[in-house]
Amino acid sequence: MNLTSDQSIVGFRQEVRQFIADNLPVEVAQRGLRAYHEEKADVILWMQILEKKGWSAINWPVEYGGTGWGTAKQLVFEEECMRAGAPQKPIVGLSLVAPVIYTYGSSEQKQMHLPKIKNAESWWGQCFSEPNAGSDLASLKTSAEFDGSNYIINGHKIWTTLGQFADWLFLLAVTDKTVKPQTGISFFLVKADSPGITMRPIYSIEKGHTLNEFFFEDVVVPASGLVGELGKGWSYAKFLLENERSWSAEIPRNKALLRRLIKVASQSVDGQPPLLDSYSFKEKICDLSARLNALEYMTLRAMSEHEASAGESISAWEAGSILHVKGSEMQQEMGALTLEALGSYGAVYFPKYTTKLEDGYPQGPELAHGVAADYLYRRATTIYGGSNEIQRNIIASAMLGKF
Amino acid sequence: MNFLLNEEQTLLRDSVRRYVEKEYSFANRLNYAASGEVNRQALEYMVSQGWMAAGLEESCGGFGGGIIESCLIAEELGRAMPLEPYWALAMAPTALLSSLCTSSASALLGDILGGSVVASPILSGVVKQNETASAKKVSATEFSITGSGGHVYGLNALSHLLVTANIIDGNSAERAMFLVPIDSAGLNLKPLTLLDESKAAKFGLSEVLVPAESLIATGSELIAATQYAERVAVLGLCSSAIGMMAAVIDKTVEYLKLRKQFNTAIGKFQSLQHRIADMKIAIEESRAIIHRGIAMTKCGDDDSVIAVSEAKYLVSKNAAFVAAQGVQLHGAIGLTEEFVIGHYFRALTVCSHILGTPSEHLRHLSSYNDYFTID
Repeated sequence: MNLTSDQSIVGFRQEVRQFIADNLPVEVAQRGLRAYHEEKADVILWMQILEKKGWSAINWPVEYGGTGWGTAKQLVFEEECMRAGAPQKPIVGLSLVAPVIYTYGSSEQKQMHLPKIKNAESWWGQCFSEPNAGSDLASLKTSAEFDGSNYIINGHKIWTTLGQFADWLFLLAVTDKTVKPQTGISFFLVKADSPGITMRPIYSIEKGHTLNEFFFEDVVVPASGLVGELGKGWSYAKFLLENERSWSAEIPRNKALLRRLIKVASQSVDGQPPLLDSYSFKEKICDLSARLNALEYMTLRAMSEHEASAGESISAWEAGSILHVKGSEMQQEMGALTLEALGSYGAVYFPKYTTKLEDGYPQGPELAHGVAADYLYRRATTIYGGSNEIQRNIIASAMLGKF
Repeated sequence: MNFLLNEEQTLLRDSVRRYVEKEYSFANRLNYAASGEVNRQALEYMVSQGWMAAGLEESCGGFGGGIIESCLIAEELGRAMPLEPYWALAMAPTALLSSLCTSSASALLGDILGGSVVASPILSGVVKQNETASAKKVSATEFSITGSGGHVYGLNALSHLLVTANIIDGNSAERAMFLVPIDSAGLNLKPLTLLDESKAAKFGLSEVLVPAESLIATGSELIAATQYAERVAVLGLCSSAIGMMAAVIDKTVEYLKLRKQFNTAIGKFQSLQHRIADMKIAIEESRAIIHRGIAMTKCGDDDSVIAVSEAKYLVSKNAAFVAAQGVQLHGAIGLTEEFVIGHYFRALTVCSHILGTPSEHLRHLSSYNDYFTID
């Protein structure tokens, strides 16, 4: 163990901060800081800026056009992006499916997909969950039957984030019903406009649209759409999740949320003194800061272990689940406190961020925009990626073992 | 940063763990607690293994370790709830003396590493300033010290106290540190038995006469050295609490698998599984904030006092949680004097309450404006 920080990271942070200040358009940043759902045009604009700099695929190896950065550097980069209000990158493609493609995909799949993911030309949707396979993903029913030359897919997928923008989908489907899921599920890449696919939007409690469901009716997928080996889908999905493990505390977002909380609480609303004048509120901020600092060090530890292990699990502390539980609960707590700091405006619905207050648009402090929408949306954090109850089951079962 | 223990650190951890398992049994601890005698064997073993020097650079008589190594020892010893607090008897004095440049300080450090002197500075945690006594030169060879002292821990083992006092000479005052024998006349020790049966004392000094050679150091470097020693002691206490929490969790896991009710091992019940998961989350969060405290303190960061205060705050809170859940999940047996888990509950309660309670640390933290300013 050596806890001396790498001094070069300080300079790197400055470099990233400067780059963002020079290149991120102010109006895009203003929208981003309000934490409404990204507009596709903003994302594409930002991705093009990053692509020109060579920073669009920060988590990829150099040979596929990535930066080859270690995770500590990636974390700093993401923190700075979030801090400045840069639009969230299309991570379903960049961080979820791309590593699967460059690790297990055919050379044809790599050539076809990676460059387009990197420049945001093609967007991806994840089709894992089903109405009856959420926490219990292994019980999924969507099937892919081989007819001699193609796979014919039938089923119903749900909770596809930003599926409305997807050009491609990656999905898990049963290819062998006679064996257990660990060997009977396969991983497919499917063109989103294939005949037989119907998409239905799902509006969530923040009144936004990020979620979707997909119906597959005799969708024909060529054999070249299968990733890696038949029946290995479950292990590819686990690999995909393992890659994301050390990120699951969402440190960049939690840090940005804390900044916003402090900004909002420094303002006077409803003619009252700022909440930050209150002793008990200050102590709440200190408590949150201490826990966030701990969470950051847990993340750094998970990253350091992940890198040292070359993908193998070497740690006995179920880092992914612990980080997920703490990080998700913290986001919700920050949201609740920020909303509270808005006083009566916490109850007001602000449809989107605008500086031009049209007739009928609610008056209120500018910082109020997006707080409630984000607060409502982030109820998802303790559910997505495996609910916190499932995460606690995982932690406990690792502790208790077989008995 | 690399969070994996290297080979030497692993060996060190394993050797302390082996010692605790073999030599520092619960029964043994009970005997010493009942008799109030000092566990000389334990102290001698720490000396003979070089554990006293684990936090020191080679130039100071150590083997090139640092706070990481001494915290590692504190954690492993913590599993046994030792009555001789390593953080007070080893970490605090060695951190203090190794930060001072005088030859008396190095000589005393040598005596401590060799076991002939067991001394501790007054410790109050980073939340408050220690009160400083006054010293007067009463003859060419003697000082007289008067004033309030403060708290010391591991009282039974102590041969000396490290007392900070201002030497008053006319209108000028100079900060100084003296080595005061524990049996000095005028040293008003009020012994305290803590909830975990360890001994502490609050003491004051009234015209305590010490020879001139007991003056260890003077000057402003003492302030920084004392602050550093307080921070190191807090991190050591926190690490010791981690060891206790780990032991509570191990015992509780074992119990959940063995104890049957309704014809089922109670560990099969999801509500209890989630509770043990929360205990695990609490210990890992505690570990992380200690890592941060160590990282900051090691490199002499200005913010280290905040980082250490955050560590004590969070560890205290989590220690209370883990200890309470350990008792709860054991049911009524957890309430008994006979069973070990209640002893951990008391020992962790002590950890939470000495060197600053969670409330004191939170109040201390909220006095820093850095938290509320955004660049």
